[in-house]
Amino acid sequence: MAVINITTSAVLDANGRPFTAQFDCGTKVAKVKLTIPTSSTYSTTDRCALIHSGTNADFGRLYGTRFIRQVLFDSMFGWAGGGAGVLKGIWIASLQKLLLYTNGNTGVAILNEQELTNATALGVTVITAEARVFYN
Amino acid sequence: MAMNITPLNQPYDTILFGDGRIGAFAFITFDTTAVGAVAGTTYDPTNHLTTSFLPGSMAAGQTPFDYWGIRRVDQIEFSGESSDQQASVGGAAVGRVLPYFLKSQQAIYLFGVGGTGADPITLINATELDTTAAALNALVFYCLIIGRGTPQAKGTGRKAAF
Repeated sequence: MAVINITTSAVLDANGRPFTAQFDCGTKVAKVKLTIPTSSTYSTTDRCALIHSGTNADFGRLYGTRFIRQVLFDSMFGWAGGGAGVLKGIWIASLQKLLLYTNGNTGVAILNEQELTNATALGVTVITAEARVFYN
Repeated sequence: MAMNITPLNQPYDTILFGDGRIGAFAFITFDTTAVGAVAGTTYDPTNHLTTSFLPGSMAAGQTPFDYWGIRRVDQIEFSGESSDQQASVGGAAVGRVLPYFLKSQQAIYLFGVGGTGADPITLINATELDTTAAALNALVFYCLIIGRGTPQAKGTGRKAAF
């Protein structure tokens, strides 16, 4: 297995401009859509990285950062696997990787929040979510 | 119940907004410790999940003030629409939980959302959780806490009004 490259594409405002802002402490934020490619397989060793659509560059190169501090999700990843439910993304700054956690129903059983098991196939459909990426 | 707040990705957990506000990335969990006369991990729809700093329902040493000097929370931006799917209004182990922060009460409300019983597809209306025992067990909320620190009033030993 390998790292899942999650494509990030800028969410544009009404004038077609990307939404970005900078705080006084230097931290910036960008609103993006995250897309997990079809037929991805999750690895608990490699997890997920953020790349950017269209430019063949990673998120850091496009936005001029080496360090993503945090990712706040406005919506979670809809997921048909494991019963109906969603996947929750958790950004680990020290790894610079996104972890995927189960979060939702699987039939009538309780599905506690936990990282996806190794080698979980994420299905043949594109999975998307919107998030705000905080970076320096 | 004890509401535990933990900094997320320390030391990269803090943002300064420049207008005096502080943003802090954190995650909130619950344990069985009784705090404020509320036992275990039972949700209290009367008192909700207060984030009042003193005494509140948070475990000692794990308040926004302890970590970041935040005395009053302006807003909590939760990551994702909800967290775990441990409980619903009827106490059945279905659905997910939607958190909502109410500034005027400095409290977090929890609403059950999602499926119900054997039918995880049909949505139920978002309704505040009831007092079902252990309803908060295993819930995890990732969030950005935005607030401000206000100096204490000198000589009074009490917090200044704000």
